[in-house]
Amino acid sequence: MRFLCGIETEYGLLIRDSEGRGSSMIRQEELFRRVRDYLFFEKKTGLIDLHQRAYDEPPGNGGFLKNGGRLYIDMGHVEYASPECGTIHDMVAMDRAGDLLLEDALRELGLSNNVSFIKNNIDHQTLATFGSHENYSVPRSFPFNEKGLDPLVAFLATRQIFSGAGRVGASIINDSLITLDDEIRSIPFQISQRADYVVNKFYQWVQMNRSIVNTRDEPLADPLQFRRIHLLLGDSNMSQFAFALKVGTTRLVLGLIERGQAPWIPVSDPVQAVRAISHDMSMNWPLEVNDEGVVGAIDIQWRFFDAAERAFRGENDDTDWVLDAWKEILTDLEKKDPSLVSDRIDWAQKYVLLDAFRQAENLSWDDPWMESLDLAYHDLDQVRGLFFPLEEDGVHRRLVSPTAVRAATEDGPAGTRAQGRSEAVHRILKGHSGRTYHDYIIQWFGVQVESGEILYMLDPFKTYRKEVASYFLEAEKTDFSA
Amino acid sequence: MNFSAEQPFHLYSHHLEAIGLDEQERVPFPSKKGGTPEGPSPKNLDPKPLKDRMMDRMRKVDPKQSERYRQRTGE
Repeated sequence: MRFLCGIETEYGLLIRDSEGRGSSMIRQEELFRRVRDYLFFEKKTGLIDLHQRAYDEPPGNGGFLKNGGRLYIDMGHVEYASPECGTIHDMVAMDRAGDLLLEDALRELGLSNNVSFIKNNIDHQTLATFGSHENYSVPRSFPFNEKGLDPLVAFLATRQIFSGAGRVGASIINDSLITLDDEIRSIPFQISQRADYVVNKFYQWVQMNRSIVNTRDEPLADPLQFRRIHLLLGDSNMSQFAFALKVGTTRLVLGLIERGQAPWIPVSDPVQAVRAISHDMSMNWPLEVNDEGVVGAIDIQWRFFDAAERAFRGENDDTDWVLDAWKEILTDLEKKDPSLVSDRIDWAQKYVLLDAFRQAENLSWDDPWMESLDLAYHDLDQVRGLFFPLEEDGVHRRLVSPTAVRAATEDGPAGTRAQGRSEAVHRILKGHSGRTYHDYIIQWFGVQVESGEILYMLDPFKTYRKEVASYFLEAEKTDFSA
Repeated sequence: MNFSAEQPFHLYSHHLEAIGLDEQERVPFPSKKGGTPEGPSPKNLDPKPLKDRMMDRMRKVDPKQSERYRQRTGE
């Protein structure tokens, strides 16, 4: 089984001002544009798009980065799409690289006293939600239909017990879109940010009808060889460990489905189960399974673990790390004490931190300060954010060094086509042998300069480094004006 | 006392327990603690225990900042 994964993160923006204009969408978008323009035009972190990419992506809306990823403005958010990564280590580094680029930009623009990027998925005032989308490359032979994907539903519905980012309160979505205060007050804290917003088991689109499993078929690679599994159920993670475990276990379960070895656990009402698990801070997490009765979320995860252990143990270091970490976290979750897993899981870390403060200050969970602290956990500003001191002091496990994250802002991950794309971006930015490129198109699956030949990069598992070198060697010799 | 990555982690467990952040068994891969694979984390210059620093940091959070944080639905 080959691992290839990418993550798309939409960031929120917190503006601190005394005039109370912080919630202005117009100001937010102005700041998004300012950060984007600084990164592409002043800092030269990547290449701004010169051509229309899609109906909602005009020229200048965003561009590809030196690390092979992408930064753009989408649906009122700055969005970072990481490059495709072939290892868990690279995936964590590249995810954090997006955070670092944005945090650096605010500081270098002199804005960080008043503005923060928030890596979360909700606000507490409206029903707005924004995503952290996972992408996994699988072979074309993958059973990409509801029957084939059905084993994934039980896994994803219960995965939040270790991948959830946690939140104060709830967003009750119902048919009339009326939120009842009593309903919210009964949920002081829950383990997932996105659980309240998922309303479908399977669906091909994303907005207003979010599903556990997204069924859009857009491989961004050779469609005869590959499919891209696109998941939008997950929360944005601050925890490197939780993020690594989330993508690592998910890829193993997709591998089980590929082999026809995934446990099939027909959860009676998976959408309701996603919410019920998220709201259950007792950590019992019962859910109804057809023909079986009540089964705990941890037991369901153990079934997937056992199957993955049999199928993949010893395959490579990454796989073994995922299996070890998965086993360890499920064992510790069975003890039903958030403080025993708070060094590895976002929701537990946030819960013990906020609960300690709540008790010290004699606050109730529905005090507005608790929501503000919830946001502060996800604040990417190193001086204000609540998460970073915990990681720096070794209280929360760190997997990838700051040095590696810094390097990941500059160069693509090894062993995937993102490496070739990264090299192409570097070459166009620098020019070569006196050649300056005035026109280019960068895509996930190819590169073109000066309206010349297109270098297709249709195999995401291939680096294309030689092809990129040859392509630009040829481009340097070509007179495109002829 | 500083919570630096070079010093034994268990020395601070009583501070961590106070805010529910007690000491945990660490896995060997890729790294055990907050220190980096290439070396320890930069020393923190604030001499206060982590618990106190975290409480200070939380008290500085504007209690009303959540009211200003209104975002668009994305995807």
